[in-house]
Amino acid sequence: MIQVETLTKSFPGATAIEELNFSIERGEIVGFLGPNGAGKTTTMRILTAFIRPTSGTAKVAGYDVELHPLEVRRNVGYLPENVPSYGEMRVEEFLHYRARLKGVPRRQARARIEEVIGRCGLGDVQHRIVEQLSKGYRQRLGLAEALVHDPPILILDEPTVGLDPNQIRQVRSQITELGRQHTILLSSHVLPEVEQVCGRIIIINKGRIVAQDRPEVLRQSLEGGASLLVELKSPDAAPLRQEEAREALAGLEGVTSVDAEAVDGHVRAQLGLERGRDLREEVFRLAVSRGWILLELSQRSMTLEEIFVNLTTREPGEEEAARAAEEAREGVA
Amino acid sequence: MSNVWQICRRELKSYFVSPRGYLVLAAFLLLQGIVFYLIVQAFSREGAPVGSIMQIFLGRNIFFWIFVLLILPVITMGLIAEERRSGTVELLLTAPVTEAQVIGGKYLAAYLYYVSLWVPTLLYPLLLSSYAKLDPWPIAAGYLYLLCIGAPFVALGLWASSLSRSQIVAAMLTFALMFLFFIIPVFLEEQARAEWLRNGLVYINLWNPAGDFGKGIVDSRLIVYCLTSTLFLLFLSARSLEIRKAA
Repeated sequence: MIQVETLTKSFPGATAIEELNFSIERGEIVGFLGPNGAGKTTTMRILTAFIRPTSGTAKVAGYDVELHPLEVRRNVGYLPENVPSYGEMRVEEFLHYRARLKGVPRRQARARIEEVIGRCGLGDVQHRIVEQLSKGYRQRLGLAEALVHDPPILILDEPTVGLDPNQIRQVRSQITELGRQHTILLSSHVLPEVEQVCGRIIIINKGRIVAQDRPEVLRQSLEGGASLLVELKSPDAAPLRQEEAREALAGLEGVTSVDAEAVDGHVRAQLGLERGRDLREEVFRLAVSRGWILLELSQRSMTLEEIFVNLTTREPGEEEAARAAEEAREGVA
Repeated sequence: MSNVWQICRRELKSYFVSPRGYLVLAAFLLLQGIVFYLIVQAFSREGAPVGSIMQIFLGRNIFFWIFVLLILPVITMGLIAEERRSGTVELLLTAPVTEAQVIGGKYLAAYLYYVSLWVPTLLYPLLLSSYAKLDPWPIAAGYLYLLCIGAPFVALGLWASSLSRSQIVAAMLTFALMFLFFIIPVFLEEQARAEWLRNGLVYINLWNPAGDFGKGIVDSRLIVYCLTSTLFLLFLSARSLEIRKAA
């Protein structure tokens, strides 16, 4: 439904996105993930034919965004970030205007509006003035607006930004629901959200795609291994020295990093482990051999959040190295 | 065409649901009322040509121009600038409509609003006709004159509004350009030495035709000038929206 090839957009003095390549199949829900300023909104604006790319091509529903912008827009429902709308209009009136503008015939407009009002839970406010709506309702109105001409593709720019946790949950289930009938591209910097909703995630940073895959696969392939949380205490009243613990832990084979802090005379340490290593036994033995008391020992795999931070905060040089390592790994496999 | 009409209708509504629309209308009528009163008073002597009251009222007095030059920027300043400031331009231009349709709809709405400002003044000749017999055709021509000069000015305001996201900037720009449009031919015509220049300036003089129209002489030069400059300015406005897309 969406094909993007070597898509580049530069503004005077800055490049917003650089040579993006991805495609989205019918029925997919794809999350577009990246820190602010990564180029998510720019990409979405190109896909809705709101702005033109500097180079490269983007096709939406089979239509090139530059050659057939109107066809593209007919097939896309777009929820812009911050959900702009005409404050002085009434909810129903606004939807009617948008429906007609998007080519819904007058006779069907009524039914369409009723449907999206019902679907987005706007029944209570349909006669209210948009300006007076709460943030939550306004967001729903934006979604209703995007849906009003029943487009096969939905492009949602930060659909949950500024909502409270309850509302976020609602929107999330709504998107899952919508995914049965629509192809959806949504952007976010809230990670659990995309992880739960999306079948696939595209992570973008500084205008480039740094990773794209299913969330489970991303987690597996990108995590530099699990991490281990250890809390140690000395057997007597004297507090355990942080340096001593750190050195001992760092000496274990397979430990890549140690992040230790002293808490109430205990030492809490977060160990970064090599890929596929399980060091719980070794840590236990170490504690026993030193006579320390092990208060806590738990292993956890990386959250998507950590992957994200890893991917988007890497220095350029590191990135290169990581990519080379990745390729080498793939070559072996 | 439906798109142009949808956009126009929304814009017209926005004029009339906000106090702004009525405030402008009321202020305009109040000022016009005062001017009309002053003109009538000046003519209220024995044997004065009552018929020329409307001629002076419609374009042949300096207040007319002051009000038109002040009120038009207020009508047009928000047309595009406000959509850009509030971000609704992103909705507007991600709907399946062309830039030309957007410009067409916006223009039509602002122009109709401009026309609506003048509708209540139709009462004035009605009022006068109860005191003297009036020839309707010069008055009709006088109103035609209003319709003519409003067209390029509204287009100018629309174009200025498409250049900035600030309504104030748009209004100032519109006022300045309108003022130049109006004053340059009037001023230069007196100064110009070269005959070709003087003859050329006659074509774009907006002040003089007011006299002719007021007498019932419909000057096609003015109509052509207003029409072509309107189309040109609308073209510029549509281009300005398209250029934004590439930026």
